[in-house]
Amino acid sequence: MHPGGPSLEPEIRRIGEQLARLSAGQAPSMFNRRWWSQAAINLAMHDSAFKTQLFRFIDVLPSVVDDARVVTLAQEYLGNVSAQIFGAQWGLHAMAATQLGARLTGKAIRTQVEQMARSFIAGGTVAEAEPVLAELWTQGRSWSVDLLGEATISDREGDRYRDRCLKALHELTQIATEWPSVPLLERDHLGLIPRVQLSLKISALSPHLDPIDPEGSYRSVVARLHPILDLAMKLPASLIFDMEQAETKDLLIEIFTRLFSEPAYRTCPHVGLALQAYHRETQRDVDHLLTWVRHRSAPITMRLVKGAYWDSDIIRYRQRGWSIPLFEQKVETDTNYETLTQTLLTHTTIIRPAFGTHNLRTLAHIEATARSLKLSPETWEYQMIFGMAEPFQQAITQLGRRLRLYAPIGELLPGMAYLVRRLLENTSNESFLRKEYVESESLTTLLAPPSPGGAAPAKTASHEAPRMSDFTMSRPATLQRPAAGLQCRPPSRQSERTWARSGYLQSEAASHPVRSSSLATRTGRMRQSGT
Amino acid sequence: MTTARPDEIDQAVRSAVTGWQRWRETAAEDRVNILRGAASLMRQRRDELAAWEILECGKPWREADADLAEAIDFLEFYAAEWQRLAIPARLGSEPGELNHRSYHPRGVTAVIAPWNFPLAIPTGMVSAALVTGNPVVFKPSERSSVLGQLLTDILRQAGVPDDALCCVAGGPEIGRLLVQHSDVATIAFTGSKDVGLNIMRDASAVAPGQIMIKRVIAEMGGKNAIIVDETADLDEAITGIVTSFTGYAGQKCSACSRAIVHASIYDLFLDRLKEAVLSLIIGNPEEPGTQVGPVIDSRAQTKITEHIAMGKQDARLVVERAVPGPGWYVGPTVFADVKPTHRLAQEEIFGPVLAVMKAESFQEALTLANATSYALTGGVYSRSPENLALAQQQFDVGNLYLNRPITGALVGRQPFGGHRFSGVGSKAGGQDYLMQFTVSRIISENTLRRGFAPIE
Repeated sequence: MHPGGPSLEPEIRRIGEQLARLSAGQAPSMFNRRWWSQAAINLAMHDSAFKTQLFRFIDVLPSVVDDARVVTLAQEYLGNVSAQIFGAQWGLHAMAATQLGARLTGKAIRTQVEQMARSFIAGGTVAEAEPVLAELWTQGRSWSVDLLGEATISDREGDRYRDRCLKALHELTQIATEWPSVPLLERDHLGLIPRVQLSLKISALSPHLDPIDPEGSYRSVVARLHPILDLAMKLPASLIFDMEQAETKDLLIEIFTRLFSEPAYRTCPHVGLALQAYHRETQRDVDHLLTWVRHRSAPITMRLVKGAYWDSDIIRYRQRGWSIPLFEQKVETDTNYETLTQTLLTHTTIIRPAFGTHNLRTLAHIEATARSLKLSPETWEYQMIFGMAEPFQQAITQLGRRLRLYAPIGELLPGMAYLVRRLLENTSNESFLRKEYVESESLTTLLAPPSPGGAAPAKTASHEAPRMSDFTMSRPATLQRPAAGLQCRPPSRQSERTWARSGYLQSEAASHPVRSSSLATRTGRMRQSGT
Repeated sequence: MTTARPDEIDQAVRSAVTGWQRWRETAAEDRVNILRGAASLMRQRRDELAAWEILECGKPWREADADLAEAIDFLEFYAAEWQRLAIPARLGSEPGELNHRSYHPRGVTAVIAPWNFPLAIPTGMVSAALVTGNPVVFKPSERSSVLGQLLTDILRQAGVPDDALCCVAGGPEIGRLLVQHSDVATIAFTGSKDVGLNIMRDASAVAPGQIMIKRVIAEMGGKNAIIVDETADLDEAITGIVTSFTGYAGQKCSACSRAIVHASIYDLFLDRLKEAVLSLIIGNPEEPGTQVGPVIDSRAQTKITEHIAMGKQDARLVVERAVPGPGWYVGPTVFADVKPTHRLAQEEIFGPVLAVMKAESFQEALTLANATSYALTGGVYSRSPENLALAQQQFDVGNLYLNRPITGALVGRQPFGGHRFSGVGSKAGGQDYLMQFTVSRIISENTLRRGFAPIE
């Protein structure tokens, strides 16, 4: 059962409709034509085999230095379709019909994918990201920087990540001090909020993060965390531990509580950690953390997310025959998120709650719960991923709420894994944004409480291929729906060779105008049908 | 453990001959259940047995536990396999005749086991022989005789009669006596190429009183390579190679000992690999964080150290980790610019030593990979569909791993074994393994008498 109880539902619906109206006029940029062709989007949405090939290609791209090799790899992954996917924007439609883009160059492909990556990555360096972050601040949005990096497989790489964190803290503080004051973003119910927030990937600090050796892991991680913490306390800046794979959850929580019980750090008020609602143990972890915080001398931030590692964790655990620690039905995760929202919002005297989500129902539920508890709006914040669900970013900001964007900074190569994850989320069947903007589900359905037999369509009741990002962002934005003829086509299992004949691509060549539909218009529709 | 005397070997084999009569007549179902019972006993003693592995063989925690888990898998897999194979199969369906195929034990089986997987490998060989109805004389390695005795005790506790399984302690001379014994019908061996070839030679000589051609089931060494092409995910490739060449200090037949790397990423690869090797935690395997423990004994340490000294003459040393003392440690060592003719590129070292070779193309990498006398495991890190397909066609090894480490084969899912000079080509933990311990008999009966046959 949903924790808010039935009495909250009318309010959730009312707020949801309000948010939908406030989000009108904006399109999430995910499926924007400036990235890739409509044909590619349609293919990716409707043909999972193609989607895999495309994303695998995007994943390998940045590590290939030789431009000519990029073209042959495009051929290997996508066959003749590659010219049509990557050539479209370059006026190569005509060539697409012929064998292939002899003139399709590695450089052109690279440029396109880099553009795509830039929509999710604030910049290669802090300096490059400065205008982006400044712009967000001007729009009344805060941010949390995440430094993208390759996996840490040596101590030297752990040292480098530490040094990058230190440097970023300095640079971010330097640029942010210049900015005008925005009271909403700088103070909450527990006091001042630093302008600078860094999200830390703990596994990047050490090659020795190993659940069978908690003591050694602690020593290794904390040796590199100490200088970062010392600097953050001095500046001041906030630090948030990101959560990672299920195997390391307990270890990360243990490192967090142990470190912030140390005398030097027990008073530090600007630290926090992410907690994943898809994990069966999270309620227990939250209760444990709340007990611990009561005995500590300062509050912590709890960032509630649905969880970004669902697919990989599930596969790895199943592969090893381990029992699955995560909810396997999406509805269970959604329900747990709502339960945890209630828990977090009823403990705001000792924690700063932050809610990472791009799901309209979830946003409305948080808002309704907080209002029912008579909390003042500064008490909690919303978090979304930079480059995702822009209409909801707009709605939350217009509502006068504090919104923080998770903004990655880093080079393209390490960023690519991040990009691919975002792309997977946005095109997944579970994607809220896809349901809304591509499939135009009714607002009633989108705002229905999570329940197995509820208003949610049957296909979403299963957790079959859900992508739940760290921020729940299930909702990519496109106002553009596939052309009518494409919509009805069932997901196909066509092989690479038949893609070119599938008809999806022809629609690209014909440039069918696509009908747009916005939440606002559907709000109207829903009202009509409701009366 | 005291080495057995030659006359004790003879006694052991004679006792097995006596025990065979009762053991072969034990219902297949009972033998199957004994294996399952042994698996259950091992589960109950998981921590204790893993601790013995750490103590006797210096295995780090995770690998000690993995060895134990694999032993349990072997017991359960072969139990299930025999359940399937013990039922005679009818061949053909024509009226008037009945044709049945059934598998029967060959006779006394000598199991000569190594120390590097001191539970898993002997458990596999011994239980395969037992479940198919053969009595076993089991000689564990003299370097892991405690675990050999523990395995014997567990199987007996689960219900194997004393005269169907005995454990004899000793070194190669004891193994040789077993191989040469006239009453031994099958020899299951896992170990080095040289010993394996000697066993085959000895087994081919007919001893006075011998009634059967001996069969040798041999798993031998490898000189395993991992290819890294220009499209590889280096995070994964380097981690996978480090795991594969330093896991249990390189003392696995499946271990990686050559990395063949595309020229365009060669320097970057070596730079990151070196740092990864420098970050390994080397030391006492009793500590849970230890990644690389000591090698098995001083003899192994000397032999590996000699190979490293030789490597320094031939190739470029990239990194050689200093070793903690005292103890039989060998620091993980990487050489670059190794040529295919170097001994580093040809001989099995059985220690944490990696030879890195440069290739100008994927085709050249495959040629280099295949250019040894072995064919056990191999790996490819690549995100090029064409290169992966090419590797599947041309990389000539028993177990090929794509985009993952090349050690840690799982029973049933990754049946393990090599060909050429890596073994006879049988696959431990595979569906065709048990048949090697049997003779296959076909019985055909004419069911037509006076014009009538039973209606089916």
